Amino acid sequence: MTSNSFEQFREMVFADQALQSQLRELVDRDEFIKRVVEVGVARGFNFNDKDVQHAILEGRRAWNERYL
Amino acid sequence: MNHLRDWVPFKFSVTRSEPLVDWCNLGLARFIEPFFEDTIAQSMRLPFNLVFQQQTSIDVLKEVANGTDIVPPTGFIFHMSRCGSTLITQMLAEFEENIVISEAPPIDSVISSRNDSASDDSVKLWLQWMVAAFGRRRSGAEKHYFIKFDAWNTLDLDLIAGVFPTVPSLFVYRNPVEVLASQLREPGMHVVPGFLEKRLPQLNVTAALEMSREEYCARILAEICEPAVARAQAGPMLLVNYEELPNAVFDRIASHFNLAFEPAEISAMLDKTRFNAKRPQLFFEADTETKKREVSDDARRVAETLVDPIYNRLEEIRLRTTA
Repeated sequence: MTSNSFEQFREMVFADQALQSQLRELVDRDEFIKRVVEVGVARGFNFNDKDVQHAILEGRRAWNERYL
Repeated sequence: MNHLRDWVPFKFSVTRSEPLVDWCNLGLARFIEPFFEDTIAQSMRLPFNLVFQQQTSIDVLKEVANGTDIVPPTGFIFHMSRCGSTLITQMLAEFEENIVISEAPPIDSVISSRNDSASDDSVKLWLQWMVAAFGRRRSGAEKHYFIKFDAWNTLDLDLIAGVFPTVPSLFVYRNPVEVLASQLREPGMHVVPGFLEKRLPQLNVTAALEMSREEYCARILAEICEPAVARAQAGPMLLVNYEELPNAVFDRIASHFNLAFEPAEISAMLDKTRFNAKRPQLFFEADTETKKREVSDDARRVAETLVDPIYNRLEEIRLRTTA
């Protein structure tokens, strides 16, 4: 289950254009997960790589099911 | 507002009477693929968009639409499907100064919401906002903005023209038997029985079961073309026959949309026509004769009786106005 802390982090990213550009450039999934956790921890959020992996799976599901 | 700079809507829905917008971060990627959905799908492969795609209230769309750096629509493209409209958009998308939005599901979803519970006034506002959101300058080079609607949006011409009364529009069409051949070989969504039943209740699933597939398909094509006749008769809609492409883009369409192309630009666009517009990895092959040959007698008969009369009226108006 994605933690509240990760939800709050998502909202923070949505409000921060510079951070969006930085994270958007990461194409490799593992590198992306590592960097998101680093940024989150550095900014005082409490989530780990499993939360990010879960969010990727949820995001893919939401995209695949967008017209259902 | 700056934090929304790179985000574009990829879905619009109304859930429990509340309009919602889903957003994808495109960065500086342009809409250069044959269809809107192809460009979004590419961006949705990025882990960033899988994780950070956002769903917001309609207020965020309004906020974006009320921004200042927005290109107003230059021209609208309507079409009967399988008739060269994608070739036109691909030629226009060749240049960085053109924003080309081709069959965007969020635009159609906004328009379609009028068939559910939304009031026409709300739909008009949402449509204005959605169109503005795609017209934002993202690279700074954008000067013109074209929208190709879904084929069935001719059935919504009253609403679209009401919201954008001064935007020039055109309708692209082709010999009905050739369009019918293409739809029978590879059906589009609009010829799937029932897909348009809220717009065309007389062509619901029950009606579809009472006629041949060919006839159903031909009746849908006729319904899509009919509003263009009325609109072109009234004057503001340019009619473009498939046979006139690609050159019509440089003359009649350019003049209608108030565009001027340099010889080098024409050459770049002509280069584009060497490839299949919908599958740019393949070379273009003329298929008019194949399509005419492959259709059954039944398909030929329904094309002639149901769609040809409307096609002939379109041709009559086009030839009269271009003479």
